[in-house]
Amino acid sequence: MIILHYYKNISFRLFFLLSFLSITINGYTQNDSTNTHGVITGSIILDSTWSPKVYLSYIPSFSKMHTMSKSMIIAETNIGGSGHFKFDTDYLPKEDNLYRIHISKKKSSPASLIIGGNDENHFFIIANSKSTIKIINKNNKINSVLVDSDPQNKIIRNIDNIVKYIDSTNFNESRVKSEFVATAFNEQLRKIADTCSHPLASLYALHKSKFEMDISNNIDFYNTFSNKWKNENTSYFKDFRAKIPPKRKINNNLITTLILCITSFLLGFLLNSFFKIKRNRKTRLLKTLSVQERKIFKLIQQGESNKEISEEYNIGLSTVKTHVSSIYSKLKIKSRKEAMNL
Amino acid sequence: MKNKTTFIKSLTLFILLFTFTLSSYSQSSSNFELHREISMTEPDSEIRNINLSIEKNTSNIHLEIFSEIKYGSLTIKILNPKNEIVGEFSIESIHANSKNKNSNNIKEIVSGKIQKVFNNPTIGKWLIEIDSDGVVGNVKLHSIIISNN
Repeated sequence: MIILHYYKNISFRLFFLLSFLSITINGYTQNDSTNTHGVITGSIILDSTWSPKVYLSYIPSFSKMHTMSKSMIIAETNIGGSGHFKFDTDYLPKEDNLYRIHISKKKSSPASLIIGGNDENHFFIIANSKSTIKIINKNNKINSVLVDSDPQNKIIRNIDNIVKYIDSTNFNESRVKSEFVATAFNEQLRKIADTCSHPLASLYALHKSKFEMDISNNIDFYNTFSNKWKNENTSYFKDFRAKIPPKRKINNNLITTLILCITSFLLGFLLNSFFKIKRNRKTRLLKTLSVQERKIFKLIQQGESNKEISEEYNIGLSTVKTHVSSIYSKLKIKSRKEAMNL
Repeated sequence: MKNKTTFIKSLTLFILLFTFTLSSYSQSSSNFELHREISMTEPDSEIRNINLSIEKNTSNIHLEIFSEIKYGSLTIKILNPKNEIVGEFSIESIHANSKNKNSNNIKEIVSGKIQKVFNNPTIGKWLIEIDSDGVVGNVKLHSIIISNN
């Protein structure tokens, strides 16, 4: 009886332990599967002109968004009777990349792209190997789908809606109004790019804002944006950075030239001041001479002797000597040679 | 006699009114349609430009360009008079090189189509640039220019 009770107790504990382990393992594996197996699901009702297949293409750069090649198609799936389709995403790279989902007309090639009009046949999403994206279609047009539960792709859809609004204004309104709307909404797209926390979605917004036309006017904004995502090294960001002109660095040669100019100017100024002082001193000394002394000084500078000076001015030789002596003393010189050099 | 004169007067008035209405109606708008088809049966590498002259009274341009290729790569751009790209697409065949082709075995076709409507378009020369690189295929262009006279 005791043994039976003991066995019962053991088996109950074992059952409890096994049940606990089973639930835990099951929970763990379920958790694991939801974390690692991404999926893109959606539903769309198409008319009979469309082929019941959906294609997923990899877009390696924003410049290839409107490029169609069969080599870009990485997966295709059938649209079921109720309009449902599904792509597994676990084989996609773990980093975010841009993809295009498109359908094609029955008599067309699967690799066909229609841009604009009611038959536009594609839209873009950002996905990685763990993405779980649910696409909702309400008006049976593939280019106007909604995305459920994925914030990054919700932003992408909002951006596309803004671009569509710009296009429709271009169609319905006057040129002035459509240009005004385009400018305002491109600014709005840049604001989304600036505030968005998802790098690729924010770059998508910038790309749709036709930033190439704005880049020269707003270079600081684009440099700040580039710095914000400096750790992003995907091809999308590399292409974007290649389009930003490098910030103009002050050339070393320019600095050297500038220093040389300033030095030359200062040197010129100092030399000019020095010679000016010297010149002023000479002028000041010459002004101390009398009228007669100045006339004699002029003749001394011309190299005339005392005798020649006395003959020219018809004065006595001793008078000339007195004047010359006075001139020497006033000009603080000691010889005729110095007088001539003065 | 009086009735006859009244009838003739009424008839003349009616004819005048009818003619005036007809002429004014016919002057309200005019369409200019252009169809172009370029077939490249041999590998073709060239840049072709199609010019559309848009004059003062043009209210709309409808453009539809369709292209289908078997080999090579093709880029089509629509440029406005300010030289801004207002529409473009590219299509590329896996068989970019047509020299090694065995045309009976290869059935891949890539197609692209762009539909654009420009309201109150900028006056001047609009350009449709068709850039082909080793292309075997065709391009069809249909444009309607609507003018208010």
